[in-house]
Amino acid sequence: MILYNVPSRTAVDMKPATVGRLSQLAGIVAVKEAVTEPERVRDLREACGADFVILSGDDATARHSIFSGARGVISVTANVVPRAMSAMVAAALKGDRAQAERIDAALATLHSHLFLETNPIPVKWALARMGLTAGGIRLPLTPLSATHQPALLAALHAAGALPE
Amino acid sequence: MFSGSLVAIATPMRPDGAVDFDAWASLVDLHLANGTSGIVVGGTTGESATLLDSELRELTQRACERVGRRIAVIVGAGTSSTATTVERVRWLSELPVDGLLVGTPRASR
Repeated sequence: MILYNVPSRTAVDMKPATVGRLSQLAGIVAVKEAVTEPERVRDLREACGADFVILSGDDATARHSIFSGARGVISVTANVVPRAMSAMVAAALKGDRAQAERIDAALATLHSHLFLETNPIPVKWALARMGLTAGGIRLPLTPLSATHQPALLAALHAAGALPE
Repeated sequence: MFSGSLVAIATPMRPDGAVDFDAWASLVDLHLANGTSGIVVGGTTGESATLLDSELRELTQRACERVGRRIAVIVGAGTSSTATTVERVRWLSELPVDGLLVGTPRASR
């Protein structure tokens, strides 16, 4: 079982001390942490055993989380650029900071623009624009507004998700 | 098991909102071919809030079959109700999944 802490959506922050206690239960092996405070991964590392897996839940800061001891990321960006995202994470896990930073720089605008509206509204628009899906989405979510489409389209081109 | 770039995969739907299982297979294949190390089915990004249990079950079964244990298949199991979450964990655990993702309950602050 993987715990998931995302106070921006749930309004409750499951603190590292709580995760540390839960990590002692046999079936709980990992946490997906969406809090982006720089010291959060370090605090989780200290609160949990060495075998406990920390995964980032935030694309924009995943690289830094990995440098602090996270084992990877559960990614929204990977929906549209899986190869680039896996290469970035692999470089970060290897400790190749320069390579990870170089790949991540090309993805930075995409990381942020995939949250121009409530996730998954932007990523579903992107997948449809790439011809991978038919673009359906369920209420109360709505299709990406026309005003946000040009910016996301530009980010998709910049990240290599669509040809230049 | 849980490391690298795992995707919080979107649930493809047709314009009328029905789950598009053909596109689902294509998306899973895309990740198998491009280095993704795990797929999170029916997370927030997968529109867990509006998926039916029957849809989540079929998405999970089809993903597991497609993946064939090559990468991790993880399923969003958390709900705002403890009893509902326990029930969902029970039936999801009978499928060949590698992990379940359980968040803190929403709107129960």
